[in-house]
Amino acid sequence: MFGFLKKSNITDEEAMGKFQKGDTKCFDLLLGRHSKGVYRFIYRMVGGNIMNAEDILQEVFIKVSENRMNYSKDKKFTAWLYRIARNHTIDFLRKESYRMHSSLDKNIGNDEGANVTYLELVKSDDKTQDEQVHSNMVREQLFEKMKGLKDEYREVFILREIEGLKFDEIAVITDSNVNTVKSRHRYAFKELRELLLSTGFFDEYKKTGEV
Amino acid sequence: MDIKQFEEMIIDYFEDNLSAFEKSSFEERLNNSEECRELLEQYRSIREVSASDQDLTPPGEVLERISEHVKQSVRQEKKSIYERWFKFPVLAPVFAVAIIAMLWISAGEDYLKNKNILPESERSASSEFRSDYKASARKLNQKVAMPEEELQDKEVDKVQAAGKRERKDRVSTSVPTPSAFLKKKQEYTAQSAEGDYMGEFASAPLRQETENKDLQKGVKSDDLLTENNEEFADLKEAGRDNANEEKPKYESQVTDSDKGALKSETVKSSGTIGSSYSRNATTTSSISPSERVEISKGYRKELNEIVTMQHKGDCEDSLERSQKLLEADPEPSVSIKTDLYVTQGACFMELEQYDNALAVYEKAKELTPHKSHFFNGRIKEVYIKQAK
Repeated sequence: MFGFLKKSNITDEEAMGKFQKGDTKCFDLLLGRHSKGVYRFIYRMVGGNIMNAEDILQEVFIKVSENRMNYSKDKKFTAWLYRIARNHTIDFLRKESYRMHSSLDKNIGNDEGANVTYLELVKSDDKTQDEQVHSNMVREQLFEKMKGLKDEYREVFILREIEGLKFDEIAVITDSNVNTVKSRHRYAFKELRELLLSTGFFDEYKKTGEV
Repeated sequence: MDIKQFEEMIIDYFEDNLSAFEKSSFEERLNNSEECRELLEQYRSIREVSASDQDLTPPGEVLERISEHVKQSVRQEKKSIYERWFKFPVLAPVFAVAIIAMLWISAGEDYLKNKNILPESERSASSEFRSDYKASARKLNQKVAMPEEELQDKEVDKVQAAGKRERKDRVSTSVPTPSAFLKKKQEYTAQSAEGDYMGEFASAPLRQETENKDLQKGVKSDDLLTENNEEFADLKEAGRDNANEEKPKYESQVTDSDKGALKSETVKSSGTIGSSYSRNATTTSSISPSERVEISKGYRKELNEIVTMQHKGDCEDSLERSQKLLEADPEPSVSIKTDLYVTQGACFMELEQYDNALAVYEKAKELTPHKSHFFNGRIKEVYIKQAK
């Protein structure tokens, strides 16, 4: 549905300007371009709960539509969008504060080697099933431990390492200064490494290269 | 450079933010220490695994739903603008005639005034009327545009919307037309001459009328009535200025009795705001929007406590209190109810009362059908646990 729109040369800021005038095709364009990244961010922030992530994603883009007149073209759209997403997610985490119990997309078990979700298992691409399962296992180990990070470290880590945003953009999104963002990013790495040391993650990661 | 300093610099090394000197000393340390090489590899693996998390995609149906929702709301916005102005084209000539008539009256009045045709008393009355009328209209507009930022959740939004509708209605009902205003003023002058100062401006009929309208809409608000009185007080003020010269001795009586009336209304409208959610059904009908906000806040607070209890494993008390809150009057909002059902569901699961858990999840699903996928997940979970 949104694939053909992605190819358009129009910038995010221009598309938003047109959407402000009522052009809903431009909203679809922005949705197509950014829904994946925003979803990934939300999904990892809420600890991998698909239903919550979908709900928040929906709220975020509806908020974008409702607040479109508050957007000014001189702001970077990505930063504005991720700021809305971040605020919604943080609100959610505060309100729910892990009230919602585990659901079906949670890890199958805590046994070693079984640390993989149903959904991840059924996914497939050009890799063989074994390779896919193994690399998913390693990845899920990392994201499982990432849940142990403080929210402010986790959000910076996700925005930088998964979404590839710049530090100054992250500073706008998280409403803090660039130096704070950089130091949170460093702390996130440090803590994550310490958390992963006991899991055998680094050994498993070496094996993914060997498989 | 020790290993701690080395670790501090790893991210800057990845980001290429090191100066030439720092970079060379970093690399020198890297070449000479196995420990540092391992540390760097560990950081690199975290980075690479994180970056590989790219195949996570939101379901197409969610995107379709968002897109459809936005299209619909934009369409509705456009429609409402067009409807407002063009749905009844028959009104266009009526508006045009009304505007022309107003211009004509205004021009005619100025003309008569300039030519000194109007007697002195009427001239001052007409200019007073215009300034008073404008002032009262301006005050009303300010009230209409009054921001209410503290209203937060959806329930609050609904109440706010209802409040705005009320105010809009009030603007159209309580601002008198110029001719009506003049008529009132004449009547008022006559009454004040007879000593019946409060006659018209006691505004009982107006209050009754507003109250009836509020009741029809299902929202009755004493606060609104108080505001109405205040608005009318502006009009009264205009008349009073005029009467001062003739009957100054009534001034204090009127002001006091007026204040008394307002006070008693305000007292009536206050009460146990948000202090308890167990209100009588008889008092429910007189809840003002601001009270509803307070009650809603109280409910949220109670909900948080219920959730905390459930977290601490105090499931039975949590169930009891959540049931009380569900049965509270006025009824809690849909979002609060849904949260309560979810908490009850978790409690029942904890107590292994799976049938009850199913029942509350079903209720929650009925209440918020757009989140049925979430509750279906919960229901599946119950079945799985039940099967085990």
